[in-house]
Amino acid sequence: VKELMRRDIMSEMEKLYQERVQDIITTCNHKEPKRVPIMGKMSAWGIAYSGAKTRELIYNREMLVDKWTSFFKDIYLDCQFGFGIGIPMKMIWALESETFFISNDEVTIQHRENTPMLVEEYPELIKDPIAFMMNKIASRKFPALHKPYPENLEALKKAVLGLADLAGDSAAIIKRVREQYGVAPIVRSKLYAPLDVIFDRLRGFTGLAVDMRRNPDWLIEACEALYQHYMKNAENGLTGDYPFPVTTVHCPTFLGPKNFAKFFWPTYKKMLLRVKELGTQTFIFMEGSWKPYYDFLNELPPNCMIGNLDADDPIEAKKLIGDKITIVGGVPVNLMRYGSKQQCLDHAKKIIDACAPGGGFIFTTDKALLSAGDVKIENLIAVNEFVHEYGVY
Amino acid sequence: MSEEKTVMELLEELKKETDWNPDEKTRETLVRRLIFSMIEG
Repeated sequence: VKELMRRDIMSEMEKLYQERVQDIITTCNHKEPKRVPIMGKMSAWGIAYSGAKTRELIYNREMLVDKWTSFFKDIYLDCQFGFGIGIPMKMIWALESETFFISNDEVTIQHRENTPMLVEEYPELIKDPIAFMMNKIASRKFPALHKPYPENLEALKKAVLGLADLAGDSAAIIKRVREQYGVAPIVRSKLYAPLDVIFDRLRGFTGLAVDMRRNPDWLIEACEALYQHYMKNAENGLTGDYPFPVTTVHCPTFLGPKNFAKFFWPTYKKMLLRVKELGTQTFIFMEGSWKPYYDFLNELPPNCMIGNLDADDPIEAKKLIGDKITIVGGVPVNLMRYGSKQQCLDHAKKIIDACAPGGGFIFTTDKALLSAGDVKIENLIAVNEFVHEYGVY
Repeated sequence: MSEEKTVMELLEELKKETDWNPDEKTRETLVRRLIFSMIEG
């Protein structure tokens, strides 16, 4: 009897899962779904919510799945961005790097800027990006690669197995969440913008600022060279029209329209169009403000991009770019933390009234949830329940 | 870095070693993911 009940629940959850996926695809094609989809953006917050510590979960998949998914029983969600720890700590530790580290709160993971490429190395990067980034850059970043052969090979073996474990962890969480809660993952493969590779991993804030002025041609050529490899890698990870490939975009908010047009947009626009050509669209976490770039986004064909706003106003974005782009936004995390329940509900209603008509809208928080205190939990529960009931078409 | 082999040569060798995964296609996929993860690490 228990087994039959379990199967009934699973088939009910699978039905719910399929309905939710259909709603997401419908709204992302600018048609009205049955309900406004509600997206969760919890990362380390899932661990904080359960009261566990990150380090103990990295080596215990069963405990990780139990703990990280514990918030789904309390908070209404239709889909979720990111599952589990997300950072390949076992790989980082196998290669004896300290670029990523667990914070003093024992939950969140931080990253130290680590961009060891020298300006005179641009021609090598342009000639063969992957060989350069492995033979030169990786060997500067990872002490374990300096060990005598075959110890360095063993370190790589441990690193690749650590990476496989991480993928297994995420898959186990996704399976649990699908079977138990009918909640869908919204993104899967990664689409890394070429200029962000240079900004995040090779030259950093200072280097990029100098290169844009002193070595613009090298920078443009390097973006083109990186485009080939990163596009191909993203294509390998695509699995039909859903879940969507994802970019978390970092440097545009610091560029301004002139540098955005010259360095960021040409290769990234090509990526977005290629993804569209392959039958899906790209989910972009638009860090900082993208308002200066709305004219560029309006160059895109409709239903090419799903834009998760960070510092920008969803209501204004719906008016200015909402015909082309699916807007992902909602109640700011700060309001959820410091505001009253009524203030949060009023804000959610205002957003739904303005953004939901016609589709092209997914509800979420402005920022990802990291630490336990990022929101008052009663506000988050109340807002998502309200949107679920009010956001019916 | 080892004087004997570059990182790319080590990665090629990793692709061929069967002791960590017997399936050639899986090894190739995982080594490709390792390369992109090392760039981000």
